[in-house]
Amino acid sequence: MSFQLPSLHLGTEFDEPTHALALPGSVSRGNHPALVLLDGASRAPKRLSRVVRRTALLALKIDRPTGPIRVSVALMLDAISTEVWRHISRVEPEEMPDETGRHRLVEVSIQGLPRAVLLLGSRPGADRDSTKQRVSAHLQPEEIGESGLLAVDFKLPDHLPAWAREGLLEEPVAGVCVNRVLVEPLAGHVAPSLSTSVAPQRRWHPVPTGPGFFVVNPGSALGPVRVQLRAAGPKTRPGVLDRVISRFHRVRGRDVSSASKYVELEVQPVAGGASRRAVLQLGEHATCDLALEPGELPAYLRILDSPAWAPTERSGWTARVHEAQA
Amino acid sequence: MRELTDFTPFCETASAFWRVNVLPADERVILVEAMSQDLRVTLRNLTVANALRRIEPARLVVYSGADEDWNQIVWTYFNLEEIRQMAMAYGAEVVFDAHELVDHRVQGTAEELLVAGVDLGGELPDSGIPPEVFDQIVYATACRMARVARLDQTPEHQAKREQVAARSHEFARIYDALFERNDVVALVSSHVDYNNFGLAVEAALRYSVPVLFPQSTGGLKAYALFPEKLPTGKPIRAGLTDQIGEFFEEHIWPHRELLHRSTELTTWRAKATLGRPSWWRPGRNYSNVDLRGAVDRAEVRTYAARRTGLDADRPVIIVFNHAVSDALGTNVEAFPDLGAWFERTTDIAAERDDVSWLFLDHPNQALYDGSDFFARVAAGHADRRHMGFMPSMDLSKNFLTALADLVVTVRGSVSTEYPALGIPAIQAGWSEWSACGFTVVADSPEQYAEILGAHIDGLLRGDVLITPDQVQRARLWTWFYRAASDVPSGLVQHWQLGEDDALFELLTTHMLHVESDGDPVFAAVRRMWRRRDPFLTRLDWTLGREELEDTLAPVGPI
Repeated sequence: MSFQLPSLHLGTEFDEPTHALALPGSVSRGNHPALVLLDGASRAPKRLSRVVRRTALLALKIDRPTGPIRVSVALMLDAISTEVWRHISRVEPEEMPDETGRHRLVEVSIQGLPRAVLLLGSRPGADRDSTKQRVSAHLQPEEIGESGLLAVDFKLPDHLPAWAREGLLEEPVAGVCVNRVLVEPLAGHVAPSLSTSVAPQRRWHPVPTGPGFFVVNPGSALGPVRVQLRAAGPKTRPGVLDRVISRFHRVRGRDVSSASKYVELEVQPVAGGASRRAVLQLGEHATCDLALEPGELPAYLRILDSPAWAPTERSGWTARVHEAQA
Repeated sequence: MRELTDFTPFCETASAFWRVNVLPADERVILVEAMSQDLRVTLRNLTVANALRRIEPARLVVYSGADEDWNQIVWTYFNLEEIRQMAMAYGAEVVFDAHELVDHRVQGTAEELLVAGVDLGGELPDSGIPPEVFDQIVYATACRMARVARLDQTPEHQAKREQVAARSHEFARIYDALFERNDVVALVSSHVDYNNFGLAVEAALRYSVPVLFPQSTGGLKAYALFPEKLPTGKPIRAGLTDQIGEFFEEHIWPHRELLHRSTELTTWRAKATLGRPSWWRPGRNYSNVDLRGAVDRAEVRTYAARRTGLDADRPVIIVFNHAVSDALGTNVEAFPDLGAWFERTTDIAAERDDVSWLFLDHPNQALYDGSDFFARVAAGHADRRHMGFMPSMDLSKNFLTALADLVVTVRGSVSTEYPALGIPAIQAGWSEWSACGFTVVADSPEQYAEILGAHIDGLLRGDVLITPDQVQRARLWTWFYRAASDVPSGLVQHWQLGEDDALFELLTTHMLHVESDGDPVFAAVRRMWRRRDPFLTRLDWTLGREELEDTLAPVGPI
């Protein structure tokens, strides 16, 4: 029980009544009356909010639900993200670190519990480009207290393997734009999801080489989830280039065409603890499956050894996830 | 570095404006300080000086400049020529670089410099300043320039002290000479601290010359130090504290019912970071207090506790560290210096592990401390789980308000903000509002420890440590500070407008197209001067209830 201060007098006669968000409902503008409190973030004029410090919390006032709810949070990077990040991470002397090719990691907690980690890549190309990621979480109705506050907070995850730190932006949460929070009654489950920094195409997420890893988020999964990796379409069978590479390497005593049938992965739970490695053989359609236990989730998943023919722009891998029993 | 394109046309307009809006100069002098790089500061000083020249014919003598220390430590774009241009447009007879003059005098290279009939480059007698006052000003200046909480015996600190002392002797000589050999009507100075400002203020008061003290905030806010109303043997600001408390008690508190709606409105606006909030919190919506009541607060408190790592099931005391070298010794304080107060408080906290303590560093500390004072103190208590140390800006006002059950400061504005929300505040020193009855003020280390201990015990018992009357006083002070002692004037515009071309365009328009007699600044300065009030006021507080209502024009039927 929190200490209560008997003299507290926060209100004034001019405080306006709050309006709880009716469910289902979505908040996507900073002046929405359901956005009732901010920490480390400002109200955004055309989005919901902008993180302006190293960590942030948004609180929405919502109608207290009678059943489970799905809370979806959409994040985005844009040109203003870079400006804010530069302002926050500025150090003396005033040399700006370069964000090109570097990534951000944002742990999303709801009602104080970590629900997911989102991986945001640096913005590709011109200033107008943006990169977006979203995640959903499953909340029980009793998680919303008497105040009706739904608190969503953002910070850098506490535990990061060394390889996830490589290329990680300093103060990675600063400048992130919160596009929207959607709250809706939930009939079924929230599916597990991936965050690779790239939007999925037909449920398959391209895995960029840049960060060298991606994040598996559990949704409401209580059992194991299955991550499916697939080598990119045009490269599922060795092409001319692969044959040349194979021949070249065979001369040196290594059969790359054979090696490329395997992939080695490393799984690191976001909550910390020991990582594990798995070597999987590519099966039909150049795919392989990896089962992750609920205790491991959310998890960073790193592809250690890609086939030699993987192109450089994209890793050549795409990934998707679903519950193991599905 | 800003570039101004409308500044010169503004100066031409100002020159024509002031020529016909003040009395012709006589032999007397008004001394005006112009040592800030921010033209808004000099604008306020010159405007107050000229408002006084409407009723007191006098010549304007302006001293300016910045030395190497100020340019390295404080200023980034100090431009003497701009300042000189503005001062001349406001009718200055002379503008001289006091810092450069002092440097030459220290080096023995000063040449003749005739200012107000005095050769400031020639031989000048020693100042008559009491040695202990001189030493205090030197010490405070050396701390500020060295960016430390206190000086030690290291050669570096002693060298800084000697350098500051040598310069201070020359500052004191030239200021004394100006007051000694002239009939000075008033000194107008934006600051009363440090050698370059403070020695002029000290000399003025010693020569029975009033000091008008415009503030770098709001519309036009200014305090006044009238020598005959100041207590002897106390720091410069102490008399002001007493007078403000008396004025508040006599003129403001009795009208609390009339002002009720206004105080609620101002408090509501203050929560939304409107008006001019504490100068160190940016005026953006991430500094708002959005919390509505105890239920919200209790829930948000759990998140704030998690962020800080503190146990919020127990009372949380938040201690706001000061900019440790800022204006030392200019008001009554319980401790020898701000650093000593902070260190002693952490020692008390280490013993009182029945409550949680959060120590926050000042957001602009880097400008005032180069010795890692806060980090060093924090390191000394790293093993105390009930004590947290953080930069202030890492927590929003929402989180701070959710956590704070008692705030502790020496003279910080948090001791106005939190009492207005029903959160008690202890001050280990005097401030402008410390005699207005909504904080508990300690005058000695022993009394401080006693008050702090009693408050902790009271929190643990669940006592009410700030009464509804005190909350109302704090809200009334907020209104008074922002509305009643802030004079809106087209001749200075609001501080938040900035100091770029937009300001000078508006000033020019005002001077060209608004009849000058109506400007409230003239009436306000006249009233303050004639009545020897401690500050400018927007209205005449001696009026009867009906006349006051007519002036205040409160919302409500007549």
